[in-house]
Amino acid sequence: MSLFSSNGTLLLLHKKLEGVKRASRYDLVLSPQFYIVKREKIPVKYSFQAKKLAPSILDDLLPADYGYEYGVKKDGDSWLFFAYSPREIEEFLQSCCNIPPHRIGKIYFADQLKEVLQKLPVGIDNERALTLVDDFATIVPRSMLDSDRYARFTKKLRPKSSFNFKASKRLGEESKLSKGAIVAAGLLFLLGLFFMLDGFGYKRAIAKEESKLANLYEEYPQLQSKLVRESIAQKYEKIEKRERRIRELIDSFSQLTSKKTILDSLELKAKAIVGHFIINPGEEKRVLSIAASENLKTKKINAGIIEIKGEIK
Amino acid sequence: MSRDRLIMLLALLFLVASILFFFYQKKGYTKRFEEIKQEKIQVEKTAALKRLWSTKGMQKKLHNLFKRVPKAKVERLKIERTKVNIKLNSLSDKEINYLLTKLAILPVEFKKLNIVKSGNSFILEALCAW
Repeated sequence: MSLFSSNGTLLLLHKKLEGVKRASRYDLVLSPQFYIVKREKIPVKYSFQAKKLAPSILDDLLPADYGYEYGVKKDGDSWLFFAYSPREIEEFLQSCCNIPPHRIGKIYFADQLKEVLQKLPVGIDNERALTLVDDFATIVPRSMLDSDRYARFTKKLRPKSSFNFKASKRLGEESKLSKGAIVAAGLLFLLGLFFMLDGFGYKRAIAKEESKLANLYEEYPQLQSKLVRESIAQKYEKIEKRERRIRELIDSFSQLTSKKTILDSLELKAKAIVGHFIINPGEEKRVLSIAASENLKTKKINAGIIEIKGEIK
Repeated sequence: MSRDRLIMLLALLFLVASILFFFYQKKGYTKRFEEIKQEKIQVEKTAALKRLWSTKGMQKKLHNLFKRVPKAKVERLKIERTKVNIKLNSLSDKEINYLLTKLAILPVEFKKLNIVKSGNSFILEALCAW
């Protein structure tokens, strides 16, 4: 079987049909039990013209309005007019073989097997066969036939031209979506759309951040490498920490000085800055409180001289 | 399968796919945003440090600073390519404040800093490098 074949499993549809194998689609050869046929000679050239006339030609043969569909086929000088009831076929397939209507593909009429039937009757089961009677395909008991040989119904018997099966209105109604399903699906879809839009929002946001970073790198191209950045930062952070502390301490020392508190000496050592201040006894309290607030260590050397030490961390 | 079920299933699949897409993007965003943030902070901090401690034109700046000090007060002033060695005498408290403030602004490392009171004035001795 070709993967790309558009043909379904071929079935000869008759009233005693049973034991049908499961398939995704079925093409039906309708036995005369499921359609009505009439041969007429009418002066039309094209099948679409003939098809327009089909209802009026078959009108007197059809028992009631059962939602008939029509098909026409040129047969020599005359036209064959077919009428079938999609609803009847759908109901039969559903009840006999549990085949849902949407699995029905193309249909054919048994009269299209005329060339085969002229040679041999086609066996339907052990009791009946399909043969030609008055040039029309007919199901007859095998006992009525003289033939000992019967053709088997296989896919090789598939007629050349097919008819599209027109599903009944009921099926059309069934296949329509219910309002509730549309609303629910719409809501789910809408919710999904919000999530999708939010997702794209994040995508856009990250692209924006990336472009900001790219702009920053344009400004400082040498800092693109993480190794270079770390090396520069390491070099300067050490200096930055020590020198910032030295400057803070110098500033703190300058706050201690006044007209009554004079700097005697100031020395920068490896881990501290030490200053000696000559202070007026009345100023001692002020100097000590400032020193305490600036985290400076104080030590009284003698009356009027205080050593103040600020540690470089 | 009826069309109702099919359409519901499709909508549900779309919703699930959208939610997965959303969380995938959100997770990626959170992770990348944090990375970019850290990277930006590091770049800006390094650039600021580099700018702050840039020693471009340092000799000229020091020349300009010390040319204001009267020559009589200069005992030693050696401005070299990467360091300056100074000893200035007889500085008033205003002068010493000014010089210290200006030196502190410059991106130099204080290797040595001594201020000693001598009579009514001060002696400033410093070795700065960059």
